[in-house]
Amino acid sequence: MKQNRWCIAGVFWFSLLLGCTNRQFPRTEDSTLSVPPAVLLPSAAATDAQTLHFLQDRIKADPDDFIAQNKLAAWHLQRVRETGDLASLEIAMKAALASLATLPAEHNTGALTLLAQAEFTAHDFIASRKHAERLIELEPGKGYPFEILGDALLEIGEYERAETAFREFEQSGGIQGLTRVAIEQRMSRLALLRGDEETAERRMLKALKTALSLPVPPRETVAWCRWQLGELAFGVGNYTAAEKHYRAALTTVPGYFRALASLGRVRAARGDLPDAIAQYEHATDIIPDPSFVAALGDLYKRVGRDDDAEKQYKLFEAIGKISVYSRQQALFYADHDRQPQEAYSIAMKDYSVRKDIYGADTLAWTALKAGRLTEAQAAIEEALRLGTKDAKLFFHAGEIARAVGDEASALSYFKRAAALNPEFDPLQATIMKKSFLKSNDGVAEVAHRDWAH
Amino acid sequence: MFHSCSRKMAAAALVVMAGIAICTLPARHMKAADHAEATGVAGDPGADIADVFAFLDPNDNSKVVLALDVEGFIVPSELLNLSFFSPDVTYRFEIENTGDARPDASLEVTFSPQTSRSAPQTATIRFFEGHEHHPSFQFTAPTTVQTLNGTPNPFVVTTDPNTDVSFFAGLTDDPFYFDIVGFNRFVSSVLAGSPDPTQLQRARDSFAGYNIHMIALRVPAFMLRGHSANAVIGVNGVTLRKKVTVRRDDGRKDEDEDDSKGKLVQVDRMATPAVNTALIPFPRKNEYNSATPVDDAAGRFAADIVATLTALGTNSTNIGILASVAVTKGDYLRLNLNTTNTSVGAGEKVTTPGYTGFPNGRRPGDDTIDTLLYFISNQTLLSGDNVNSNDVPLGGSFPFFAPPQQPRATGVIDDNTRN
Repeated sequence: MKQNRWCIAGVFWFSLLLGCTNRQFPRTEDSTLSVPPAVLLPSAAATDAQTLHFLQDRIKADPDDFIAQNKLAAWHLQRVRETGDLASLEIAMKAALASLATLPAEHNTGALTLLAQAEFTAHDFIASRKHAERLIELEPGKGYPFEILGDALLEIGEYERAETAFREFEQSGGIQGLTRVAIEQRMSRLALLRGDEETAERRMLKALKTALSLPVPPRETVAWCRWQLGELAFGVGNYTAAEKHYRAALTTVPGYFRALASLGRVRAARGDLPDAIAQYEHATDIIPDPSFVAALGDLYKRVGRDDDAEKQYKLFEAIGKISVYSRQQALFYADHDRQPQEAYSIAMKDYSVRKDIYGADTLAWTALKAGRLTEAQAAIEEALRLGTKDAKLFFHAGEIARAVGDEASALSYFKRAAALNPEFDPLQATIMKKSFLKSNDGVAEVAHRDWAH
Repeated sequence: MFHSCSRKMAAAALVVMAGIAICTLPARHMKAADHAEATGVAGDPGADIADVFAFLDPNDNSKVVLALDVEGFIVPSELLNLSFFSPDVTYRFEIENTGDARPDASLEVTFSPQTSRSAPQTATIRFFEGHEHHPSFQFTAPTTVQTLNGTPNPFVVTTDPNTDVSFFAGLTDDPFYFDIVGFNRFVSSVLAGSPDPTQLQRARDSFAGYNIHMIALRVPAFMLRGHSANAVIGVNGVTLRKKVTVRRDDGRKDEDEDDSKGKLVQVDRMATPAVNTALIPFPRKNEYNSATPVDDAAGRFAADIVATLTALGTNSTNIGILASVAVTKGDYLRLNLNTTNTSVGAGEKVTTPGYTGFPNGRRPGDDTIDTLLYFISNQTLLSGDNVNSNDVPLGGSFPFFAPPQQPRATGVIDDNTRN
């Protein structure tokens, strides 16, 4: 009899997966076959230091050397991108401002561009938007200001305007190769937000191929595209393909911290917790990004290393206080059932200026944990407004539905999340399983056993 | 990275009303905390012309040297990583030799992709007469490979034995010299009603120490003169890219479409320094870049140019002089093939005795900024910006530019900015 129940449960779970209308498997597990093979791209690290010294010397000799200031800002912004080191962001910002103090924006659009990009990186999206709009005034007919504008609008949730800006960027700036890479990347992101994973993947692949076709393929850009392809594959539960993409990114740029952390996540999703931990440890050694630190703590927790987990959580608390990480801080508190009111306050503040769907999701999740169910319901509705297919969004929606007693909706959301990306997060996916079980009393035990596969 | 239009922008600093814009365009966006921001790009440095030169070879006046440069502000330590010419850009010298605004011939240069930083690209040089689609002649030549050693590699000059046309392409020292900041402050003081010449005492060359991508040709003058008896030719630098079809999400276009079959689209043009950046108002700069000398001669931008000069206090006589250079017959560098030339300029300007340079063509060493300022100030400002020559000596033979600045040893401070 017990064996028969196992069999029934297996069929039930399989039917859940198949029955989810939103399930969009990547074309095949071997979809990476169409992706150009990864090769190591040369680093400019050896000469980067010389370039930095050259620029520093010039500024030392003449602080009004705005060209050197602009180049210094660009140098540091690229460093932030490649290493995640926020100390460089501060230097870049200062250099851009110093340049503008010497020569105003009307005559120095380069510095204004750098400032807008630094503001974007510092999560001051309103300022970035304002300066992008100024660049559009100063450089009519140019495409790149629309790129900056669209990026800022996307982060503050003005999706229609962002798409219009990207279309303008595409129309006015689509000739040069690297511009086309940037366009494809943005169109991919828009498609993903709208729940069209196939277009997202196709356009990101186009971005990668275009980047690789450039006279000198920009290594970090190539690695970024590969990492993004991995993220797209991971988002639809294709862990094999995701891992291939992440490893390809690491072949392109060894030690690429984004790919390392994502590799850790997919290794966890595939059940290899020791390797997942190793990858996250490597990533956090390079840059203790709060999201990496929290994930590492969660993995330690899962393998019973509670003390190590707590150390990571403390580290997170220390780093997470930096304003640029406010959203992560709110999510961390909510994910770990800590300081619910504080999490909610942070999320509210963040959402007051940044009304993107993930801001709404953070607000919804923290509101739930703070016992504000009505607000949570309204916010999660906002978070789902674009039709984004993201297991974490569905999980949060399910939890909120369950909290208000709507078991049918909760079940529906959990099914969607499970069908899409059952191991979306080392900690939260486990919690979702438990929630799912609560919503399926009759098959609780067997579904639990079946989940991991 | 830097947009090389900064050169043109730099020149414009002397006319603040028209405005300059140092287009320092960083290559990409950065990592932030919780959003996967895409890489970004702005500008098209590989196609953005910084300067155009046209002058008689001082060693052999039967030959004309044509040169244009793109993508400047290359720090010496960057010269290897950035040492390539865009293979998808067509670099064109348009030649006018009948006294109107319409080009009568052209020299085009394209490059093969770079396969290795230690191997040259192959340039293909084609000469077109009239509006022929087939070149009168063509030949190929290698670019000069760069090195990070203390001594630069020698320039590789290729001379086609059939036509006696010589070619060079590679990085050189940036020949332009100018104190952008000092001039900007000085002109600001003028516009504020209290001219402050001390602002020009900085004398710092904003371009010193940087390298740039240079393409140079030495052509027998008779080829450029064509069938015309006219002694004056016009030279206009143009860059073009193949237009690509934007693929839509509805699948109308294949994602792997062949971009190489696209129609050529003009990205930039330049002849007389500072015209676009100094005299054309912001809203029309891109329009100017994609326009032609025929448009100029038709008066498409004349009102804007006159208005800018008038606002700067330039009188009608000098507006007329400047208009004759850049408007009346289109914006070409006009070079008199019968005017003897014995130097590359080297700090000479219009007030130099025996001067034969810009606006008669343009030599690498001509102090174009001081010359332009001389006319804009109604021939009253003689001292210019006090940056009076390039930071390093120019070459004595084709291509006449100085070798690229090489990385300095650790601890050796670059202060070439002060002449």
